[in-house]
Amino acid sequence: MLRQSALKAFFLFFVFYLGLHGETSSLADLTEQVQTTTVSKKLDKEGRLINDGEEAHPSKEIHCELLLQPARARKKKRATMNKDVLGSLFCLLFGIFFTVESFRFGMGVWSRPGPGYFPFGAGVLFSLISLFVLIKAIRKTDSGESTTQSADRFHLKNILLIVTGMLVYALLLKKIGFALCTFGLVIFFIHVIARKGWVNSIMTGLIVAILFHVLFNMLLNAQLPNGLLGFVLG
Amino acid sequence: MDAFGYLWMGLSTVLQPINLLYCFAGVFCGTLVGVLPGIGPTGAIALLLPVTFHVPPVSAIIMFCGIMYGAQYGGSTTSILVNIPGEASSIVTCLDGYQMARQGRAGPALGMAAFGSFIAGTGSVFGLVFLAPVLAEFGLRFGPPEYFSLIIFGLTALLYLAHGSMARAMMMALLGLMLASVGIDPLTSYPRFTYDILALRDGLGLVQIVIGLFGVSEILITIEKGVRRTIFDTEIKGLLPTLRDWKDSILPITRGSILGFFLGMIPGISVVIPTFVSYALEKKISKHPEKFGTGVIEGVAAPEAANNAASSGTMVPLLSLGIPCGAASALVLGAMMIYGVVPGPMLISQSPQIFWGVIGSMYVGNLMLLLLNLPLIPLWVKTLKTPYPILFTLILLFCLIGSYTIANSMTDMVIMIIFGFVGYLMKKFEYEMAPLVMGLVLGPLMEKTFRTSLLMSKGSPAIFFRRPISVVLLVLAMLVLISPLITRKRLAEKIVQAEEE
Repeated sequence: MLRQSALKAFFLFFVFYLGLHGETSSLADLTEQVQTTTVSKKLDKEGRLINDGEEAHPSKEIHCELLLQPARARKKKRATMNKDVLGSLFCLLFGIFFTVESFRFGMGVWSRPGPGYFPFGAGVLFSLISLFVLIKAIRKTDSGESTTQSADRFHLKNILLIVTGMLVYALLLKKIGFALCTFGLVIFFIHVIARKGWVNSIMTGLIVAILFHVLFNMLLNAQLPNGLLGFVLG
Repeated sequence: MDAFGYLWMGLSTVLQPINLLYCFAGVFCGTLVGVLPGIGPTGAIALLLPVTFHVPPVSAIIMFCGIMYGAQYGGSTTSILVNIPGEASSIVTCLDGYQMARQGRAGPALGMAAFGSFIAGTGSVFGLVFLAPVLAEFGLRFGPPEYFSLIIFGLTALLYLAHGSMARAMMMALLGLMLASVGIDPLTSYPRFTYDILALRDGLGLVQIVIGLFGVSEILITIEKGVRRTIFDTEIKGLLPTLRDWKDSILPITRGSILGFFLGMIPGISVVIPTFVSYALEKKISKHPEKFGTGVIEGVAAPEAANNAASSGTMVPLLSLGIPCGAASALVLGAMMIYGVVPGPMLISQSPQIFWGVIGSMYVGNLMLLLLNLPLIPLWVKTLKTPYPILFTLILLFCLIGSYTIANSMTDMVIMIIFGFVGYLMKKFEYEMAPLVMGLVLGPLMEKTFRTSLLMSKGSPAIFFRRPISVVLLVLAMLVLISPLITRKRLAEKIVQAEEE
């Protein structure tokens, strides 16, 4: 019963924590409605040099929302055709690799299909459709229908930073421990990705790390590794 | 025991304190993720799955179902107040709901959305009670060939309703089937695509992939876009709709419920399409169609009823045949299998406690949502004001912890992160995720039924065309596949166009 009530208590706390934080720290930012498309460009160029001190640049808050509208996004069919070519080409190569690999598993016979039979079939169909999409995409590019849209460009820098941060977290979790890793990752996200000041980042990191440790390791007994802090926490 | 006797059993199951608590946790989390953009019911179920491994299966499944229909309630709140659909299924609610909020009628809009959802939710459970056992009875006649054909039909229906290109959706369904074959082959114990990595022997793992695809990638996309958000600050008063509001909405709610329930039952349709259809229907038969889009209460009530009824509708094939209708119910199916509950026509007779317990929980859960939602709306609005850096950090941490706790394995985390990036690329290249998840869940079943069918027939694929149920399903699948060639346009495209107008 303890775990159940802990779970419930946590979710309530989670919501209240978010609610409080929302009210005190960023209500002003939110109502400001900064055009972040331009803001993010500025940040890319100027890097982090201008980013110390929190109050000075309220516009650096990453504003977000409005996702979950795939249906609307997709109705624009003018998306870059090069992207289509690239995507389907990659799928085709992956499909061929997959098909060849599954062929090696042994196809069996009709009356007794082997382990490679089903993946082989799926792989062949996948490759064929990829090829079809690829040809269609190339044709469209050739006929000049494509227009490169700047709005759809990739801003890979932050994405790669986040993915790398998470991978490092995964690799170090067992060695360094859950609480310390979480502390580090939160600081990384808040300071480097969200471009908040050091004080804010460290405070948030500390709160989240302690909160998560108490919740997962003490209340839910999730047995996340203690790592370096084992002598204190264990 | 007759249906009512069983229903009584279900209710007494759910009224046990532990199940009540999980039901509450489910609807609460469901509403929360429904409100928060960036994470939906599918991601939430995947995140909570590892945490609940030790929980009895009835309680866990009650909680996951609670998340599914709870999210429908939460999604409407943000649509009305912020003009941002928390879920895709409440896109339509924005049209009239936000207009009503701007005219100072946010209260009635929210209230009617909640009451509409409640009426639809409880009403459609009746449909579930009577239809699921009948369908399960019918499903008992299904052998492996019929199941194979049914899966084919389900997947083609999903393709037909895909938002974007049908070929791409088909690619993703096939990719799901391909990824499902990673791991040890169940029939011959041959390791496939494992490359001597120990963790891959059990397969890639549905939960890790879904957390990556629906949790991480959503965050990555949002961080890249960095769009702005305005919160419509309004005083919410008079949540209880007036008598006139009721008179205007009661028929639309009834129609929306019936429509949503039956559309939701068709594999592949899920909860989004019924909302569009129901809105279009109300507009068509209304006496004042020109007023739609300017803040009429029918425009809120009907689609909200439809999405809730549809989420009960998706439970019919899930509980009676073991066939999911969309990504979220596919994950509930995966969860059942993890808990050792075998979904399929035998579920109702073999584990009546689960079937009727879930049904009973839907009554109780809907009631909880009604009571929870009306007074807590200010809290949800506040949640929405969470600064995004905090929100994305917490969601990503939950994703990491969730994937680690599945088996205390680093490899699982890495798989999850990789699929988070893959999901990001898929979104960028405009490939859909729902077919992939369906393929991933149905893949093992499809392969097993295909191979056992061939074993049964001693190698003749004609077995799929000799059995009547199987033939009917395959013909239906063929019709679905070739119909766009004849009519030139698919339903999904029509709906997108209608929405554009």
